[in-house]
Amino acid sequence: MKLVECDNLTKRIYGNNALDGITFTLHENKITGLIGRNGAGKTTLMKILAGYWRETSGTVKVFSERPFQNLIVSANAIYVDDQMTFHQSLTLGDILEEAERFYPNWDKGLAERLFDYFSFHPKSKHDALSKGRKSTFNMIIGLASKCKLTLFDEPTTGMDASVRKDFYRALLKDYLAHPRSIIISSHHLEEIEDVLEEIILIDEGKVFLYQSMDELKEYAQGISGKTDILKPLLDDVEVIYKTEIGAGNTYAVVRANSPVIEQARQYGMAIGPVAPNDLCIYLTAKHKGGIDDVFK
Amino acid sequence: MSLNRVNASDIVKKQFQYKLKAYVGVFTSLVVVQIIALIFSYGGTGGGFSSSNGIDVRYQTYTVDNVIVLTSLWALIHAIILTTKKDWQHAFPFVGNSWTNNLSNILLLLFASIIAAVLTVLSAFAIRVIIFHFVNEDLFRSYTFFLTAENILSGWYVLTFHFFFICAIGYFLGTVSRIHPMLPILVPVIMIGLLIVFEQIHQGFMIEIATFYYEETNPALFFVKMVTTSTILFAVSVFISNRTEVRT
Amino acid sequence: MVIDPNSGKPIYIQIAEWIETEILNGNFETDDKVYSQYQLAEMFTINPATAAKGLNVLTEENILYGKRGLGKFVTKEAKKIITNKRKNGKLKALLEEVALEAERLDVSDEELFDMLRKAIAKREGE
Repeated sequence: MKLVECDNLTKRIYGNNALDGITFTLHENKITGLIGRNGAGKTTLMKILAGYWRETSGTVKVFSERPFQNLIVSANAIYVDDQMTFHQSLTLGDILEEAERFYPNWDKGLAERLFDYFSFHPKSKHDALSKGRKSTFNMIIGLASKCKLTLFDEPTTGMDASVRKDFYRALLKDYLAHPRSIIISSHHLEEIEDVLEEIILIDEGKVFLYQSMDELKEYAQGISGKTDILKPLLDDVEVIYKTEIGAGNTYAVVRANSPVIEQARQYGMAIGPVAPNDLCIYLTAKHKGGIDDVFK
Repeated sequence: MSLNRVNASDIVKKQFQYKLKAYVGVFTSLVVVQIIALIFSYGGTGGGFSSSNGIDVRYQTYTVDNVIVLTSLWALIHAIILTTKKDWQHAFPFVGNSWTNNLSNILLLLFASIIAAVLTVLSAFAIRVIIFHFVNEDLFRSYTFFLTAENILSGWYVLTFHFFFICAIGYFLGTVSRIHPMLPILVPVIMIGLLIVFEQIHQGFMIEIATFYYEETNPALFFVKMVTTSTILFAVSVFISNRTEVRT
Repeated sequence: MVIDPNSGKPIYIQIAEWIETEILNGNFETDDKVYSQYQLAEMFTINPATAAKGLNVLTEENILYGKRGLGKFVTKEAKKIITNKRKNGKLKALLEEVALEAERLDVSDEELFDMLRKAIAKREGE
């Protein structure tokens, strides 16, 4: 079944196109990474899918329904971010009780075990939690609600390294036990890439790349070699990223199927894979130039 | 995993229960407001002195006017608070949409109005007890000293719709204010400005409005006037807020 | 073995190589059932689709065979295929690297052979 369908989806916010005609289809029961720079449109897309924000033009369907203010979407999808707020009068224990009443698939056992594991106190107030603790608590709600579609927007904000690791493991184990659709946005692709099945790379409100994680890992190759030899080879091919290292050496990233790779190999240049996180940065920086250009 | 079907009335019910829990503060503040109002009422709300044929009469009236005024203010403020961006967002971590959220808010306000009316009527008893025991004067009681069942019921009936009406005004003002950041300042200015202008164009305008609603002696007509006006105000609020986005 | 996310090698290939090593080490014999995609996902905290892809690669190479609904099992030829593959693939690539590095460092052929002999002798001594 198609989980999400976007066709030419556009969202204008204060005169800017936060989403600029994006088109893609997501299928059910996958863990999908939503990757992009700050302001690329990740949050906007997620809030539209969750039904909080209204699309400006184009169509968007979640569970074959238009999500904005849609009760079915609201009951079957949950959006978790660090802005989640609750009434000041409710304790953490109250919040879990309320969540249980609202979400039909709520996993009380899981919620309680995670609550204890992360040493939360039922009488604490949500407002009084630190940023990382808030994220951890919100994550519990996101997982235990067991919604058909779970949207995690930068779920690990403020969490320390060990909690982040626990989170990804909890997410994966729960997903294995109860396969469902999970979309996670993150700055830390290197942290989540293992648990992802596919990624959507968005940049400037457009879907830049939509691939399986394995394809992304084989998308490009990095070549490093002497500038005077490598540079002429790169003239006629698509170069994703290029930088000079030290005196007379160049590092270039090209598509994995590029003929340059074979040529470079014959020259004895070092050829290696490119980490997905770096690749995403290179891909989205391509048109803007890097920070180095600022100092030219 | 199949889709969970939900119906709106079930969600409204759940949200109402959720809000009863979340807004306990509304009810504790009601109690505080009423106690403060009773303290103010202790001195009496009106009085005078008259003398004839060598008999001096000093009279003092005790009413629950203070309680009604302060409770109305309480109703207005809480209705506005429900519509603020922060409180509006509190309703959205869980299942719901603007429609269910509005309906459960209105239910909460209706419930609060009923409770407020009950407490206000009770405060009328309280003030009588206080005066009877603590006002150290010879008391000539007026004929309204003893409340009849009819007094109590009609008082409760009128006050419930009165508070609900005030809530509708507050909810409306709060919702309108959310359309643009400038409006929370502009709306009260415009409202007061309009009242002044109307008053200048047509003397006694405000009194006529008050008379229209509060001098109505037919209970059924009173009900129609109050409920119709409240419904219109709520309907406009719902219409506006159903179009606004949440969780910004 | 732990999956190395920094190796840049796709995880499904790392998974395939890990299972190959398990077979070479004798942890799985012919007709033994290997881990399912879900067990692998759980063991290495990776997406089950990635684990499945690793298993499929091995199935395509005839190292594993599938029984419908039961899982993946080790073929009779598995060890031979893996050994051949590694000889022709990994070992060859490693030797090419060695040759390249030797050229950069100006190591003579004799010197290189000598180093290799010593390395072999050291392993045999262990």
